[in-house]
Amino acid sequence: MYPSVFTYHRARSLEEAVRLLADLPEGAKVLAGGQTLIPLLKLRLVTPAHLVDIGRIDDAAQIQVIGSTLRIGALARHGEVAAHSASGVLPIVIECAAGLADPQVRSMGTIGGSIAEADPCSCWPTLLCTLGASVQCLGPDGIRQMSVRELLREPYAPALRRAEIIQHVDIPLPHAPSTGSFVAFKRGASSYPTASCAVQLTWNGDTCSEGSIGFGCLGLTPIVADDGAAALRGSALDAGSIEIIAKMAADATDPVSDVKGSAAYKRSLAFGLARRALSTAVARHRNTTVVVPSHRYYGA
Amino acid sequence: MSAIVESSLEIEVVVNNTPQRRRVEPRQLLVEFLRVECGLTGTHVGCDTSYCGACTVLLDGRTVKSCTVLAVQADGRRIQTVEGLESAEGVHPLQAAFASEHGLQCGFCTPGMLMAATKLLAEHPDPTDEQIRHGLAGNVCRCTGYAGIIAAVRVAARTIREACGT
Repeated sequence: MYPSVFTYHRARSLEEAVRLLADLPEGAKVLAGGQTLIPLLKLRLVTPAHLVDIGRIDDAAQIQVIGSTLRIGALARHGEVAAHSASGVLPIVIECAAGLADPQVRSMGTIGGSIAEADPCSCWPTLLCTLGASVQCLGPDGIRQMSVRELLREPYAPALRRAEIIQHVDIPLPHAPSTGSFVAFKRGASSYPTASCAVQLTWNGDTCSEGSIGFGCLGLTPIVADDGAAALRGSALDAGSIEIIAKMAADATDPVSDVKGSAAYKRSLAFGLARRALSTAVARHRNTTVVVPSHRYYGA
Repeated sequence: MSAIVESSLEIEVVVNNTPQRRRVEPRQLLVEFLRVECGLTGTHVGCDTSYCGACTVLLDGRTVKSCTVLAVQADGRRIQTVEGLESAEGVHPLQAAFASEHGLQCGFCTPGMLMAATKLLAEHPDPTDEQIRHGLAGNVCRCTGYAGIIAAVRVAARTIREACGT
């Protein structure tokens, strides 16, 4: 399969890419790692006349802790995020990145490209919405910040303006001891998950002072369970309350029946994954040794 | 035709230690570049949808699915294909182990399996079975049921460690 003919432009900086995109006719596409775009080009689901390659801008691939923020450059590849020492400040980031797709995709695919695709099944959007992350975008009118949740309000159509590019992602770091868990249920490594769930709990002693629960693939956008988060506040998270909060969180999902399963099946999966992620995060706080594969396959 | 010629651009890559300088169309996929321009047909096109991993090659030491990389993205980089595994001493220990442990039947997925395994052994010289499975998760085999492949990687790892005296 071959993409349709396009003119190729290689940008040496994000500023140059924005200038190019502003000057080119509407419909030019940005190539980062290409792991979503190239399959779409090959199927001719997109047939851009111009492609702007930003994949070589190393400045935009840095991963660093700045104050109480983990900043990940838009061009950081999934594998780099998983292996980088800075990601260790928030282990759930490593857990998400290290199991995302397969090793080959993790070599090329970038966090910025993954969010800009605004696919409700992608793992990064699920995690970043749950953690309250924001993005900084660069456009012809300058720099703009917005939450990832706001960026991804519509499926497959990120709230980016014309010629605007994501520069980096900022993830706020918890101010107190905090544990998390990311779980995805997949048909195979290379598939998008059937459902995924992210949980991050911040602790005051053995009581959860602040928490968040989010889901992927269980609605038209990543879903953050605000009711579940409210119920986490002040909870000691024993087995009984985990059960109740997981149920409450799963009620926020809105899955559709498709080839991966019926809506009823996916709602039940949402509950199971939320319970698993909550239990794992709690066990990690209590220093129980938990080795849980983050991305689990059918039959595994 | 002229439009295509005008939009072609020159790239320089090193394939299996041999520098190559070619004019390519920007839409040419790396796997087609390797097979058609370089004549290296060991890299297979399996699913052509980034799923099966038969087209796996090393790009600057990292595994990629060459059906989902444009040749222009490889400009200035080093590529290793399955043809680059053999040396003057003969076949690579991974190739020998795939044969001895029945790590292949039809052989179509094998080039991709070998390249993914090369990378995984570079990262984990003494891998657990779980690390082997994780490292090969992006490669699909429809014949073997994988047991032979995992055994082959384990055996090759031992051969390489013994040869290095570790």
